[in-house]
Amino acid sequence: MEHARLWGRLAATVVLAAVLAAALPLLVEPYYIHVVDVTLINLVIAIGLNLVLGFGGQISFAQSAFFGIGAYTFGSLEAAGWPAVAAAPAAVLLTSCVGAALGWPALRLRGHYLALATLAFSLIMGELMVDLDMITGGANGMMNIHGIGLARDDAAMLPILLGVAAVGLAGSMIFAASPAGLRARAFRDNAIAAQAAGVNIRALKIGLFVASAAYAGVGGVCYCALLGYISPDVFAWQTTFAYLAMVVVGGLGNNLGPPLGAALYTLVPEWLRFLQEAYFVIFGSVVIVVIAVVPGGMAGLVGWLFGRIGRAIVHSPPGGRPAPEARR
Amino acid sequence: MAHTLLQLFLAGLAMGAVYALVALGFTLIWNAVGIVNFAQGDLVMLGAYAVVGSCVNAWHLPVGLDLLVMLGFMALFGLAFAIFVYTPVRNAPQLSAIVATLGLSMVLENAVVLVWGPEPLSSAGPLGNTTVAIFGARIYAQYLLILAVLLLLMAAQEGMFRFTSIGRAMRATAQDAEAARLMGIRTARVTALIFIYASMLAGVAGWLLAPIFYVSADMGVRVSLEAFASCILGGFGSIPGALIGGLLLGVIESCGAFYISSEYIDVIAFGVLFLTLLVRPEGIFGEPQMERP
Repeated sequence: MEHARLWGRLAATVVLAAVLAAALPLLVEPYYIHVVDVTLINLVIAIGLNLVLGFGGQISFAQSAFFGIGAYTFGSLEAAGWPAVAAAPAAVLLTSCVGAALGWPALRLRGHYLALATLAFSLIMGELMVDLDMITGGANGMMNIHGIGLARDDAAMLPILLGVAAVGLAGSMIFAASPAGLRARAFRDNAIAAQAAGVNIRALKIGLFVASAAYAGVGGVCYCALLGYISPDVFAWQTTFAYLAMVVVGGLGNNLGPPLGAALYTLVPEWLRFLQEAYFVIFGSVVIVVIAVVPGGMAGLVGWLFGRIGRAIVHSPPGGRPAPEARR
Repeated sequence: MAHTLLQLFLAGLAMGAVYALVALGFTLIWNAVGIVNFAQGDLVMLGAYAVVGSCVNAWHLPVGLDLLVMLGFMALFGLAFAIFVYTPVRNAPQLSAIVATLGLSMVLENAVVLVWGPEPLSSAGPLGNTTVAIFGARIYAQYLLILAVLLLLMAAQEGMFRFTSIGRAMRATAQDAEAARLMGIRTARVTALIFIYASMLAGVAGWLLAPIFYVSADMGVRVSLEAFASCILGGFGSIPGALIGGLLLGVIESCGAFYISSEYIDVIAFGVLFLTLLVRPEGIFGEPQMERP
């Protein structure tokens, strides 16, 4: 039953990605294709954050740093003459190693201590990206990154990014349905009980950090490949808040969450551009309202709505059923 | 040589005093309700905008009156914070509460741009660029004002916490809200009061900072970070820790910027924070890691 559901979801993801790849270029203007591309990169990074934060319950502010490390490693390796096929995996690998290097000392820290340690890490990395100008190009960043030769070709990047995002989402779905996903949720809900039940929480916590770093590293490589240049302000620690907001508004620990959150954060502002700053005033208020009213986020809301519609079609029950217990 | 050191030390202390004020408001809220308020620095920014943008630039209020008007505004804002942000999320898990304060931070940073415009504001403040010579070291009068205000506020706060019933009720609520309620303290009101007081402290910090920095939408997050670092250094949840941690951080920054490198100043300051967390998470005065139950 559980497997059938997983296969159904995986198939739905692949079909949706294929449909979007075929239909979007016909339906929307070239500029919006670019916006969709950026949304997909944000989605990949948000999926990574959802692993450590949503499934593992560990507050990590390191996502922007991992994103930047992936992008700068890829850019530097290419500048050193590496071909993209070698530079991309190497960048993701290095980012994962940094994830492990951060996850290991972070084992001692919980709650807001972990949040502040990872925030300090992001801040230091963001500063180093500007200060180490011999390697990173300083405040100007890196120009003319060849990538996979498709820089600024938004239409050609769209199917590639859709593929990457679909694979990333599929990975997260498989993780959620696997025993490891179950262990992560047990750890999130009660670390002591999970440990008593035999979960190796040290390995789990490091693993979650490595996975979130790997996703951000992939995002960094994709970002280089899409734009052909990088500048340090994109990876400043403030961007971590953006990913955090995406994951929370989308729905923590729910695989529908990152797509909904990334779309709400990146795609919708483009259509509501006339609102300017007011959009983020509204978005910030939505974050607070979501936490207070629908802790399951948009994904929880959508799931609840579809559940209701489904039940109403199959058999209309007497009286409404209350919303399911919100998952953290 | 000694002059330089003294000058750096006093300048560092002054910046540290501002960090300490913010860290103090942050610690009060943490102790009272167990929420890590990531928007504390944005309250500083709001206070600075209220003084410079409205009281001085728009209404041309005289010195003193601008401070009072701003404090009234910040008190109202603190009350709104307690009612509209804290109360709805008070039973949410800690992660969600943190993200809610980040949401508030996002609201404030964009709202000030809507209200006061995107250009950073500058203000000379009542003291302008006056400098004072102390043992041959030249120091901005504003820095001395900051230190004086900190001392005065701390004395007043100590008095309030020790000798007034409202101060004792605040301390009781912070220590054990359940027991305080059983003793007949209206903890909801006291909690709202703590939010009001913490907002006013942040407002004072904004008033003190405005003549030193440009008032801009992103000044808040920086101040938040410095305040967190102060709390971690001094010991999370400890009021003397917040003070000492803030002053220490200010001095580390000003001396580090001069003697090591001004480019790497943030790397140094937050490297210290990161190492403190890894080696001694409880800081100087703190208890072992505390977590919201």
